[in-house]
Amino acid sequence: MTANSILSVRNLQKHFGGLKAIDTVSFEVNKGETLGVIGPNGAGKTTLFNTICGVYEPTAGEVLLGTQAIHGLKPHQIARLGVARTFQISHPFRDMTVLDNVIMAMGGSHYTGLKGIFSISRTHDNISKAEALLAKLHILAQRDKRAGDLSLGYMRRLEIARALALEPKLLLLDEPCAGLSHDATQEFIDIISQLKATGTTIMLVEHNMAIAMTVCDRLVVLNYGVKIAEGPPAAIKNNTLVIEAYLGRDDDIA
Amino acid sequence: MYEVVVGINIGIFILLALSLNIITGYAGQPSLGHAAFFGIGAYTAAIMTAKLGYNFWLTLPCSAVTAGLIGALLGLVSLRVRNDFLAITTIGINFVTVAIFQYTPYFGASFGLGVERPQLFGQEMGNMHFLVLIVALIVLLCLFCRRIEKSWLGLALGGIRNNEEAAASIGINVNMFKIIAFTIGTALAGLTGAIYAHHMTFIYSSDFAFVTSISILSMIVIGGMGTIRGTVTGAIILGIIPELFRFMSDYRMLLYGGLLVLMMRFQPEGLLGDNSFLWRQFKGLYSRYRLRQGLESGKGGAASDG
Ligand SMILES: Nc1ncnc2c1ncn2[C@@H]1O[C@H](COP(=O)(O)OP(=O)(O)O)[C@@H](O)[C@H]1O
Ligand SMILES: [Mg+2]
Repeated sequence: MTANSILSVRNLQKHFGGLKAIDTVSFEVNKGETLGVIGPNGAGKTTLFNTICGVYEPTAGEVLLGTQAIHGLKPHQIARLGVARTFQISHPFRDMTVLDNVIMAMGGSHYTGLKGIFSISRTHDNISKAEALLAKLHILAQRDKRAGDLSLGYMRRLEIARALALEPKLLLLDEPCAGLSHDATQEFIDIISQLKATGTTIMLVEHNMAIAMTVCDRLVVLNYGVKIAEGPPAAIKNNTLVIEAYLGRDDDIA
Repeated sequence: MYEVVVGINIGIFILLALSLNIITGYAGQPSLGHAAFFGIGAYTAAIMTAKLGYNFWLTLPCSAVTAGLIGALLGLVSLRVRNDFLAITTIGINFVTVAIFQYTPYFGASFGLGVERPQLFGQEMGNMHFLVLIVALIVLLCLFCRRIEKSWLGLALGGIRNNEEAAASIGINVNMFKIIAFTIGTALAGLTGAIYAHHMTFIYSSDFAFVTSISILSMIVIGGMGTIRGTVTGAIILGIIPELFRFMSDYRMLLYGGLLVLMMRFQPEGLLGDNSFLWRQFKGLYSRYRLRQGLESGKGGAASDG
């Protein structure tokens, strides 16, 4: 483990019955970097996120946040330790306002103990913090809308605002650009660059190589649950294994 | 006196509807067996005063705790099953509970259980006293629900109602909060049961049957689930209709069922739910009123400036 590693994944495995969705994968995420996880559909990228976040218990292997082992913990515990995520398919709290969606992620220690759970959530402080995050993601104007009424692009932004409200050590983004128009994708690339500039450590699943190449400092390539390459974008671009994995499919070499 | 009795009956429905609203409205957990917990509270209280000689006031917390503990168990069950199956499970719990009351001699079996009206300052509590007690509890419960809505608990339950996976991803312990919602909601139904038993002075297992559960659920669905105003309104409307149209009381279920279907088709948010037609009109009117006031005071300000 390097000195500035935030997350280390060691020999991680996640099997679904006979299917090895994650097969002995190891890598590190360093403080302040944007690590891309790429690979064809079904490669195991979402499963990797779910295993890191505690949605699935690993079949074998370890996940360390700093020096603390987090595998085997529940998702809410891992979230409170500072791992925030967005979902490939947006999961906003649909019937609640955009503002509430963000404030909810600021509960932290208030979500335990009678005194905590009955204390007021929408304090001036929390409202202005949430508004600042909405402004950062350029959705402050949507503040009082129901989250379920937002467009797909806005939902994605809301999910990032909500994740940032946890003040995470590590932010996991699962295909934030999938299904977006060219312009919206460009805006997202800007947003991610902005987050990078403010020092957020990001792990980004991106199925589109071109986007991953632009925003990521380093890439980990998965294919059929196996890590087939790791390195800076320029090196990955010319890696024959990677090219084969993608050429085996029909899409995505941009 | 007739109005007082009607008021008590509606008041009891309001308490039951508010308590179910915590489970189904706030936390989004379907429960089609809420009357079971109302019954557990009623029988606990009746046994405590009629058979064991305890004081009525002591039955209120004891009924709440008994129903709440059993409700917590239901909460545990809810962790294991999907929402649609939970609905079936709660129906089952309702039938089993009623059967236990109906066939256990200690619970009076099909004869029911009789209790005495409690004493207050050396006097037997009359209907008016009960009405005052119930209204006071409704006010307290509304304040409590308001507090839930404003607190982290309300947000956590809203998270669970909308998306459990997302709720967990922002640090909400989904299992714990589900159990909290079931415990609070069923405990309050139990408390209401204690009052009901001592107001009626006679309870039968059939008072707590599945149809009662459906009535309570209909109230919150028709009024507007997840809101205090909708829940109270629904309880008042469905509580009053059978009183206004006596001949309909045999067809009550038909009426509730019909209203439910109409509501689901045309106004799934309920009459006064957050996104319902009526409530949006009301909010629109209110904000126009505010705007006009703002303009007028703005004019006043400009005049004084100049
Ligand atoms: N909960 C699950 N149960 C069984 N198989 C799963 C589950 N989740 C994912 N898989 C399988 O694991 C593999 C990897 O899926 P996924 O992680 O979603 O890929 P990616 O995100 O890279 O497209 C796929 O073959 C998928 O069908
Ligand atoms: Mg995926």
